[in-house]
Amino acid sequence: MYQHLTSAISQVLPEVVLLAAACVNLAVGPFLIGDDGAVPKGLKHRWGVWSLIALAIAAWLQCLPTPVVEATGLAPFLSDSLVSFVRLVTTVTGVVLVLINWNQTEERDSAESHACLLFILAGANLISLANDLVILFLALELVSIPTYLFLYVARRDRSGQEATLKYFLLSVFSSALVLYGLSFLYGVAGTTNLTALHQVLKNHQLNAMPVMLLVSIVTIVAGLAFRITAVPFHFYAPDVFQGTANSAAALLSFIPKVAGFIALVRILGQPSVTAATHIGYWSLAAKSGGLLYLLAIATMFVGNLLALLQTNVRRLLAYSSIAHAGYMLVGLSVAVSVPQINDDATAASAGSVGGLPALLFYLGVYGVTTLGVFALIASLSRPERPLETRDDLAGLSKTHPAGAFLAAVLLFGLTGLPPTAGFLGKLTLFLSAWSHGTDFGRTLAICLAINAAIAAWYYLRLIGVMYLQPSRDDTRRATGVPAFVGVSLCAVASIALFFAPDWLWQALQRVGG
Amino acid sequence: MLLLSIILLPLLAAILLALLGGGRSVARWVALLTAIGTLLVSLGIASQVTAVREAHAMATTDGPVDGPVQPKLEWRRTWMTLGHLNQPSGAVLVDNESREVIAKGISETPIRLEFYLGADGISALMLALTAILTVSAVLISWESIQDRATEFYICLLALEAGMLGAFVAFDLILFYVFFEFTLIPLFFLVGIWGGVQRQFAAYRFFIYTLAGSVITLLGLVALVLKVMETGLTATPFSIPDIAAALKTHPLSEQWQIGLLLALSAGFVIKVPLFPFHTWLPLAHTEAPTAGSVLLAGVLLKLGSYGFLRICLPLLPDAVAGFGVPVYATMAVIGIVYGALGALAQSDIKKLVAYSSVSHLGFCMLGMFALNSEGITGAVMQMVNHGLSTGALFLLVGMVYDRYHTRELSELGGLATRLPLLSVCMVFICLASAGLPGLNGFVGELLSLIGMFKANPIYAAIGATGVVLGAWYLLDMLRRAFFGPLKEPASVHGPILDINMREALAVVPLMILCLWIGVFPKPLLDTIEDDVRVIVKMYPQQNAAKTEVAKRANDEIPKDE
Repeated sequence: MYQHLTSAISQVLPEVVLLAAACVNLAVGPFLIGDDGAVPKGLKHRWGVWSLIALAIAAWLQCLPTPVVEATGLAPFLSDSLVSFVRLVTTVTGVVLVLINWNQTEERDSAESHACLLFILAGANLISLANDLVILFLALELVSIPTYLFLYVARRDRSGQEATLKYFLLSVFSSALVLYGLSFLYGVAGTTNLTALHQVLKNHQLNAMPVMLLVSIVTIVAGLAFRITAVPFHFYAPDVFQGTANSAAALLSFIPKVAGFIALVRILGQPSVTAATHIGYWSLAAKSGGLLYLLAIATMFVGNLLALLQTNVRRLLAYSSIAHAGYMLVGLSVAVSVPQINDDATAASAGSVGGLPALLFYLGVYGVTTLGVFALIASLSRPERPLETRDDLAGLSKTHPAGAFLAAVLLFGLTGLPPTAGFLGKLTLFLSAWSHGTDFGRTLAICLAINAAIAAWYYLRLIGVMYLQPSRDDTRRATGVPAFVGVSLCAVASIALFFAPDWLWQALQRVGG
Repeated sequence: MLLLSIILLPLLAAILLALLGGGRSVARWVALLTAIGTLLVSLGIASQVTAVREAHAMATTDGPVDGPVQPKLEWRRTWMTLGHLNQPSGAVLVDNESREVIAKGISETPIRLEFYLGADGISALMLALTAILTVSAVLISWESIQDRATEFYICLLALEAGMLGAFVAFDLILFYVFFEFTLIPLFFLVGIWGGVQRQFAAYRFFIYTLAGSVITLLGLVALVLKVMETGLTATPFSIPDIAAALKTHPLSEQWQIGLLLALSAGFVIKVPLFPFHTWLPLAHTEAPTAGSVLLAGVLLKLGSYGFLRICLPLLPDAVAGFGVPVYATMAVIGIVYGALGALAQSDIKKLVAYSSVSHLGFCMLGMFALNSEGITGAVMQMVNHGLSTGALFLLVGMVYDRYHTRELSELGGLATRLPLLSVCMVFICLASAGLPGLNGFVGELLSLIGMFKANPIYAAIGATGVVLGAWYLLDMLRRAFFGPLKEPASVHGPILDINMREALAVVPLMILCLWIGVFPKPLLDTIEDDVRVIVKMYPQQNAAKTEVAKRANDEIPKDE
């Protein structure tokens, strides 16, 4: 047992660094503020740099060769290529989030605000590392609880408080649902270790209690569907996005999705093709396919159709993030359901593009793109000249040409047009859904196509407002430099991934393989 | 490398302009020099393609017959590895009963998405057309674009890169990428520098085209996965490899019809075929002159090129059985409807826009004749329509620059005021109407002959379009350019005739029109091989013809 723990620590060193840095923030932060509330100038810059350093050290540790894990499979942490992917994604998006947050916080709150971000990023990593239901739940909470604080620190007016409270109540409720579902799972399997749990399922030991498992699947999926803003658990998102600050909206648009999807992938596992041919086989993955399928279709349509009606930019992006959750659910429902087996098994294996790599690729691409858009809004928003509604964007191509250009790149990326990585993301989702070889997969692909066309309209309208409409005020907009660096990073990443996607895609194909 | 550079040249120029900025005078010179450079590269590609073809012709008497599609130049690099193809490594065939043995002998070849550029005769012609029209487009915008000129030339160059890319892409996804990419610069060209209704036109054009092409993407995905299932090729996105794989493993006709419907969804909108043309008149009319020239001259060809490059060689059964009645009917309706629509217009630019619907109908009619005359005619019609309609839009743009109106009721007798411009206009209208000796005649005649062999009724109805074409074009000439002089009252300042810059934009197109009309052989030779390999896919449609040809061949020696 002791050995387990010592080897476990070495597996999570990058996360330990992030958590330690966050603790330094919390411990030192209060002493830097004078008794009279005087704040030294440039405090937020110092904390911003500190966060970047912590992320850099964590990234460096991630690059070191991972210690060998013993083969018993009972270790508390996993280290596979999914972990590397999640770490990569949280590092990149973490840098962007720090940059967005840089000027969004008050000087006096900057320590706490950056600490929350680091906690959240460490939590997201731990979700992918967890090999145990308890650790998984703790990691999920490590993401949620600092998020409440982050939301509150970021904006304290009435609408900000309302948003925070709304998010807090619903998030606690969803955590409870997840926990409830996990307890059923434990009750059935008698173990909290994920590897052992999936082993038990594979050995058909649970055929006796299918109803209990079904209840647990439904509650877990429902609880995590809050995190990924799947319809019908999406309704808080538009209000919260609109009511809170740009940095918090950026965080909510992406990190909870990572948390939710990775947790779902870990809990549901992968279907086993060979075992599925046995009658009475029970796998969490195979049985959740239908549920996720319905969620995917509902989420895509509701997200996109309601986004058409929005004029507030953050609200529109909230609906867009709902729609994108739907696209990713397409990948997930393909990944967890058993593909049709052709007579010629070799041919079938040749013609399949996995749902899981497609989902993860899309997740990464979506993260970069959507955070870029939020970073742009954060960078150009000023109290005296806010960027709240679509009309505020009018004439941006004149008042801030570079910003408008980058926004166009990112919005075309969200639309899924070449030459952005968003196109490859949609393409791989299409390929994975269609290569499933069933009506189930084909329906998903067709729904995805319809929704891609619907979504084009509201993204295009944003671009049109920036480029085709005259500005009400022709003076140049000022730029928040750190956030604008974040925008540029995201736009460059989005285009670069289009031209050189292979390194990421190859790594993703090893996930769960 | 020429293939890569023809895309990169305009693209890099656009990026440089975007990064370094520069005023209007810098931007337009950069654009002009880049466009001329690109034109030279395209001529280089054409000459290389010709050289390769002649080398082939020396070596074999049959011409290259490796597959229904075969580029003469190519450049390929891996883009994305999508999975692994499990191929038996030896000559062992797949045996279901002893899977274990085979599993050991499997070598994994990665399934690749590629940057696969290639050129054959058809693409070489389209590249040259694109490049020359872009030069004209830059020249015509020289003075008329004052506002945000740098951005204008960036969009123009990006658009050129996209169009050229689509014509050299031999990977399905890469083709789609360029096909889609052209929407972006064109959206801005129409939306920023267009006419009064520019915003509405830009949105409508973009959404309409995108909705269709998303279905095309779905079709591409389905087609590719079907090919992947056969396990025959590790590059199931490359058009030649798909064609080769489908030759040995043809798809069932149901699948082919479904795929044809899905794939053509984007193409019929782009061409546009009859009920899907509604976006076109507005977009053409509202676009700035350069935009209209490229939209009509090149972008519409992306649709017909898509049919020619993807649908015809890959889905022969569906095209022959299902496609001919459907698309040829749409084409015939389009010919007559477009011509009648043009007759009803009072705005010259709108008239030219409707004439595009009619002329592209001829192109599609020829293509779906599925014999060598028809397809040759279709390709010729693509080039001819690009030249003559491009030139028509240039001339209409010149009239608009002078009078700020295109209404036929406000103009009249311009021949006395603008003699040179009127000469050009008459020349181009005659070319467009298909006067023998000018280029339009060659394409329309070949298309109609092809269709007459395949199905005389379509050809007969389609031929009325020639008459109607002459009617609306000559009527427009009569009302605007002849008769008593009538100018809008609001015009101030002297109205000058065509100047050197405008002449440089139009006269090369006129020379080409005349050259193709008198001596089309070089062009016909360039595309001959490529048309032949497509025609070979349709032996039944050409059975009667080959018999005739055989008989003719038999008779020749007797005469000697």
